[in-house]
Amino acid sequence: MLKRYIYLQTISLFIISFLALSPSGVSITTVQAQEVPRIDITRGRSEPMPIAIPDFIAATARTETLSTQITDVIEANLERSGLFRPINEQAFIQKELQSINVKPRFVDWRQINATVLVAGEVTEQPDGRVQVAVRLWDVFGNQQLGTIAFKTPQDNWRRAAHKVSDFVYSALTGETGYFDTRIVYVGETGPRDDRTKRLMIMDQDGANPSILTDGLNYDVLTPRFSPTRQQITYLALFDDRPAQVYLFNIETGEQEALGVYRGMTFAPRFTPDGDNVLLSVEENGNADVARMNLRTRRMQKLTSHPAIDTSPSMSPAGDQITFASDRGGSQQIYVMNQDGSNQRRITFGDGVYGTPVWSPRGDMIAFTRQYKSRFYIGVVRPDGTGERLLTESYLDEGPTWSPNGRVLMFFREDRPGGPVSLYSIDLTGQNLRAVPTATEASDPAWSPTLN
Amino acid sequence: MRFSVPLSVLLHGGAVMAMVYAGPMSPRESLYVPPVPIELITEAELAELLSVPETVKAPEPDPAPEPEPVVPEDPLPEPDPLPDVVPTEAPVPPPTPAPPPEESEEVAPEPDPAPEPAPEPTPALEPEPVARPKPPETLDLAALESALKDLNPDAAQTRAPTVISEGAAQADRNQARIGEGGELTIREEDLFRARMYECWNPDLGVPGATDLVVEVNILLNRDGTLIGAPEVVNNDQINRSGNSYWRAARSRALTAVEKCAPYDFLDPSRYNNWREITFNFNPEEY
Repeated sequence: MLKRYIYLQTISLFIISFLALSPSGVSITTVQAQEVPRIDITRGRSEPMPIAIPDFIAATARTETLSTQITDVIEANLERSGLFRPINEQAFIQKELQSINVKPRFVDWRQINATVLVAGEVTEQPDGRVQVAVRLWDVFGNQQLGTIAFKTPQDNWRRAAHKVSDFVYSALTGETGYFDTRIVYVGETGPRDDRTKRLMIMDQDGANPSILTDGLNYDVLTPRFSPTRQQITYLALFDDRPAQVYLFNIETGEQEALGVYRGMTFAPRFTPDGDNVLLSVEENGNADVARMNLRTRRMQKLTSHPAIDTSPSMSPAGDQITFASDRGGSQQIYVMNQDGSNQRRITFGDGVYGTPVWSPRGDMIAFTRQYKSRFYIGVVRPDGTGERLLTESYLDEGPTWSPNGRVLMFFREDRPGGPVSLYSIDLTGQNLRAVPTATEASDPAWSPTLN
Repeated sequence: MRFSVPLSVLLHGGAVMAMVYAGPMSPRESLYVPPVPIELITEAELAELLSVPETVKAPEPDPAPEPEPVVPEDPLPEPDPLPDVVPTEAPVPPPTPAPPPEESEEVAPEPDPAPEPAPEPTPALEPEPVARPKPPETLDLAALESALKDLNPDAAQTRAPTVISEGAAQADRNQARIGEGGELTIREEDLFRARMYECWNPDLGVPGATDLVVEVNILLNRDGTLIGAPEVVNNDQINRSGNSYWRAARSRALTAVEKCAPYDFLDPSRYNNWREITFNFNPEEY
């Protein structure tokens, strides 16, 4: 009996100690978990992300040509953004992807440091169109990031390539892409003293340039895209009468003056809803900011100051307007509520500030600044903090935002009398690029994303 | 002077040639063509178009807060879980160092060329797999548990306890607490920072870039390889925010942690101190 009691005691002791032991292990880890060393990582090497884009898989000779063209356009798009570095296909270890539906050999892509892999396929459809299907692979996470597919007529392959570029860009940056967009600009030809200025349009990558206005008896300046329609507003500059703001329908080519005034109207820009145009109205030598409703054609003055108020641009939320005014001496940037109330100055630097443009993203206002006969393009937060200059040259003017608010395009004349041409730069001040055009070019206007 | 004539001829000739080859300086006189529409194929359509049928998986309770399209999720029927697909909440890796992920990756193709009717375990069409923690591969208790946790995102992040090797546990019990367990030297921190500088590629041009903090917790083997998948400590916060920039930042942080592995620059005798690390990715203003 006693023996048995001792025996039981021993067993229970054993069990208790066993139980005690294992939770104690757990409790130690819990204690440790609270003490896990934290390392603040505040700096990384911000550089273009290495991306592998093998030629899309194609079954027929025709789709093979198409697939090469499509991948070239995608590579060029992503490379130009400055955020990606397409890896030369010579370096690829996995040479052939059999199907986009098979997991790639991640090790092979990891070895060449590709962060992501874009695997695509071009197939002909029974109706003669082509289908472009794409999978995006996270090489280090060994998983799929997303997939997308389009059907389109064969000769519309460029747009399909832009759409795929937008998809990749958006999956990897978190913002919408801007590759399926167009640029309107003023094409300039002829000698300095007798320039012909025509309205041109091209794809964002410079492809498909075409003429929008030709043989006009006036010059076209400061074109601005409607955010919602295939419509442009611009300034028509006449030899014999005051300049007027015009509306232009891209699809029909129809043009019309936006109201008729004794004075001059200028510096037009659509509101984000596309229903109004903000502009400057000059009367008796004084310019004020006004809003014109495109439906009712009613004009409402928003400022009434004896100084010159111009270059209005509305915030994407539609609640505020930024404009330039010289009411404080030199011209500076101001912000006011959309009804004209609460006008306040946000820049205080030396020199002259002009052409404020509210970012479609809302977080920044781009501007040009002139100081000691140099021009700069910069950005500032709507509350006036965080002013940064991104570019500098003899003449930098006319900033226009990509529809996602990440890139600015502008025009530059880098020496007195030198040619004018288009440039783009990333919001971070990196990646300054010349935008090639067939003629000299000025006043770029970025379209919204096409549908 | 005597070279001036030939020089002039040469230069003028060159100029003429250049003009011929450069072509006229006028834009192509093409007429404006309105954009041709492009048709986006929906996820469902595309899924149907895929030549490979998706492996259908037993329905599993997936009450994740983010509604996902009803597609079977990553139906990889894996016999043995690879280290890099171990669910975050997976129970206890063995105390012995797991095989390094690189090697296991090479073993991975094994399940791929199954001669079965469902040959390719293609991952399902997921619009944004980044947007949530890796789904558990099999229907097990751990999966259920983690799914339940997702329902309560505000609950403190818990993590399955990790078994400490016997030596470590002993050391903890027998030695003074000071300097023991989870304290890094300045030099070790610097080594981690230097390594991470090479691997982390933050996008500083997004709005509020400096607010997009991502905390990543990793467990290391003695040889510096990762045990399991890195865990994003503030995952729920990021998911709840609905901020696509933040999700992209999370993705970049995870890539950095994976890319930097193995962390083989550390002193194995101090394994206790660095076997679990939390990186706090918090970009500075550019």
